[in-house]
Amino acid sequence: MTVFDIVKKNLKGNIQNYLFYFLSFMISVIVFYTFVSLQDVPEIQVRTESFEILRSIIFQASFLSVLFVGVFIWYSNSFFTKRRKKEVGLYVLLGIRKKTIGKMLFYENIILGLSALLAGILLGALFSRLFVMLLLKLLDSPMNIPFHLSFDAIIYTGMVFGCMIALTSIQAYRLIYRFKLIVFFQAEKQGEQVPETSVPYTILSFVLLACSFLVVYRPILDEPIVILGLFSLFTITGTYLLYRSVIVLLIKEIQRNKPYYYKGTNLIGFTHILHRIQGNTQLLTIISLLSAVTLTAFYMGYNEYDSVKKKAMNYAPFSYQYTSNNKAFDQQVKKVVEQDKQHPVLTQLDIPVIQMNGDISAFEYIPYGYPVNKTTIRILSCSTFYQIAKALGKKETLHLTKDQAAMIRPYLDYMNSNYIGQKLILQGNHTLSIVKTLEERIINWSEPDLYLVVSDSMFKELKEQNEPFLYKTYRVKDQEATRTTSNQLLSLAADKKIELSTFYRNYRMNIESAGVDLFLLGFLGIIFIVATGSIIYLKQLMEAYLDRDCYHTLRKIGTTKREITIIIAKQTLFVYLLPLVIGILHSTMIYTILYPRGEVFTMNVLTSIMAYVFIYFLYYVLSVYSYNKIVNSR
Amino acid sequence: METILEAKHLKKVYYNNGNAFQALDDLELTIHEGEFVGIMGPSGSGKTTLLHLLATIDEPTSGEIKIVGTDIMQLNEDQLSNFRRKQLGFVFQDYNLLDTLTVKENILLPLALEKMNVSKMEHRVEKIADRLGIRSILEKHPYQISGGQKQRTAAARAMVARPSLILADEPTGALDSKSATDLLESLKEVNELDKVTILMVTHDAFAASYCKRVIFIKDGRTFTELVKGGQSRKEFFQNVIDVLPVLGGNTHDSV
Ligand SMILES: Nc1ncnc2c1ncn2[C@@H]1O[C@H](COP(=O)(O)OP(=O)(O)O)[C@@H](O)[C@H]1O
Ligand SMILES: [Mg+2]
Repeated sequence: MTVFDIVKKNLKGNIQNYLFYFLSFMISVIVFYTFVSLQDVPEIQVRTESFEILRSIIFQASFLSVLFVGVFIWYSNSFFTKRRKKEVGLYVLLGIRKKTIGKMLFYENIILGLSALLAGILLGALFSRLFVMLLLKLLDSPMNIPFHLSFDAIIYTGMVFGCMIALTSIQAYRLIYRFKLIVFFQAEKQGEQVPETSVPYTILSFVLLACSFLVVYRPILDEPIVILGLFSLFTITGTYLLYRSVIVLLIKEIQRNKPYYYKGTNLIGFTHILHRIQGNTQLLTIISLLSAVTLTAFYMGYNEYDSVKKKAMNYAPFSYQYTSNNKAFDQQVKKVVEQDKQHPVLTQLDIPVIQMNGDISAFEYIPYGYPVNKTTIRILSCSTFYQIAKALGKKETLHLTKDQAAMIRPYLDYMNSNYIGQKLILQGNHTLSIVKTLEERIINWSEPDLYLVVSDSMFKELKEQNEPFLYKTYRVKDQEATRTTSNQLLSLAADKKIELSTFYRNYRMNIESAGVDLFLLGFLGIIFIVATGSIIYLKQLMEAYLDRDCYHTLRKIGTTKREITIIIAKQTLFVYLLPLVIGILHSTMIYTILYPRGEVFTMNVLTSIMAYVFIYFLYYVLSVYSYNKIVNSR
Repeated sequence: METILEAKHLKKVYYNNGNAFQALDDLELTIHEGEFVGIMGPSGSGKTTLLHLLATIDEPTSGEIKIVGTDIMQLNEDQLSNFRRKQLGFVFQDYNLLDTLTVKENILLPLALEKMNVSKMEHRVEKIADRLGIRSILEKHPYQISGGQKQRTAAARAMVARPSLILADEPTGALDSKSATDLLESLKEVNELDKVTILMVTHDAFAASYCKRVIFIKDGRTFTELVKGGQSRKEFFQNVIDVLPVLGGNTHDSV
């Protein structure tokens, strides 16, 4: 039996110990590989209109995930090596040279790392298929993807994780050199010191958190970046101090309440938390903040995805719309549209539009780019409006007298201006006052974008000087999937220099940006949540090993297994719940900064929170289970 | 009789966030070949500290340690490793066995490191296993055996390479009295029959009574010493017990 045999045996036999390290390494590889392989999947290249952007986003996001994966692997590696101090101690006693011990740990880490890398890439290739199908589904082009190995991704993943294996292996090699020998024979420090409570810090913490709250809800400045910056500063320091002081103060306060504190197992649970919090402050702070970021990512992605169809509908409510001035072209379009049997025509509508000049200088707010006293205005009649409303399935009613008009909110009006009660003068001295703003578009967007609806009698009168032009519009079934027809029509129109817009084109543009965003946000979110959850889990395991004796003692003095399980469940809950709650609170703040006018607790936000809580709950259960198994068996 | 161990003017001061604590204070110790020496003292008296120094895994603040004529302070790290491998065997309270290896493999680990040939290795292991009464569990893994058996495995591993000196720190500390007695009997037998030199640290008078000589330490200094001579174990036990009140227990801690 040589030293190498011991390494091999150890690797084989100690599989449970190594398993967590191995798994965390492998999962990191899977996630990373899947992610970078996306840029090399032909199906995505074909399906996405703006592939280059997707590619560069993926590339950039992969840096972020390297960071995360790196931190995570580093953490599990240090956990892993800590667990083996005793074993290393034995090797020292047996008189194995430091260099040899270093080499053993080095090779072991390399073997472990390489096999995790290999397994990760293989599984990653399988998973990436699923992920790609998921992405395509989000991009609204579901299809079956054949198994595919991406060499670029393998090389990229290999390089990134090769570096990590090298670094962790060097770290493993240095383990024996980093500490004095005696360290390997000393018991781990049992508890960390109980942190001092500091009233100034506690007050400071509250002040900082209150400031971060004020910055959001009573903004002095209007710049979101500044708000976000100040908010981050206040929140980070505030949260840190919160863990540092406030929680400690709170527990100490509980300790004063003797009847409660001395009741059953509370005594053990609270002192435990108190002793551990010193070492956990940074971790809890980081995890709270990361949770906040992750949740915000979830909200944003979800919101955006949700609004894609709405946006497209608002931009181009009709499947196809073009300016008709040529009978032959009308025929061609009709033929193309009718040929598409999968998307039968629901309604075909001709929309006469008067285009004339007007003076909007009396407007309080003039949308950007509109010449004030000679702006081009497009006018629809009220009966056309009703036809459109019927075609689009809207239930809006409109009652207009001759000098009244309704205005469709211009697409580029970001300020949500109020037009009601304002007046404009049309060419020929017709003064109209606006009595209603139509929030949803009823006609596909095109320049110039200032549409009015006027009464039929007014329309008739205007018609006499201004010959209306005709928009021909089609609405077809399943317009989200009219890729072929849409493209055909667009190229046809481009040839003839005719203005034509399709729902599909707009929808695709929106869904691609949102779908990719959602995917990336979701993906990063998953990495974050897995990393943070696993780090807490590892930390709990580490403490479990340290506390084993303490719990054995408890068992010996008559604490029942059940009671110990309850203690564990309680103190683990604390470690998971606290950052979760604080993370959720922070995230709703960030949300308020990003969507200042939106309602905070929308369905989307609640669903994201629920999903997050659920995943954390799984980690919690796993932690309690493992902890219990470590300290409460036998 | 050859001198196996000779420690002179041993001092050990721990520095902990600014506070200095003197764990060993001018301690002297000599052990000859074939002895079975017990070091007794109340908890906190510096026994483990002493053992760590002798085991060459920690360094004294000052003083001199010679083991089989070698001044271990003069050795560099690699030489120290070699030295530990050839000259020392260890039995600690917490067994320190590798769960992945069988009992047999655990025991032959030191021989494997010496690259001994397999049949010789197995012969040695079986012999020592017989002596310690663990022949029947050789193929089991440490997690399948009792604490007492684990400790005897650790003892077997400590002896198998025939080191000049075996160092044991509270080897019976985690054992029930039956297992403790078995282990101590085994150690005694090995000492008497195979002439293995043993230094055992303990705070337990019963364990100490198996030794041929017991050195008492108190506050990091040698306090007194008892030699068993012709006494029976029971008589010797009584003598050891009698020293304890003079030695004092944890009462010193409050000073
Ligand atoms: N690493 C250390 N740092 C500071 N003090 C220590 C350290 N190790 C031991 N001590 C102190 O030295 C004294 C002797 O410890 P030890 O040798 O472990 O005693 P024993 O094994 O006899 O119970 C104790 O008071 C202990 O608190
Ligand atoms: Mg001790």
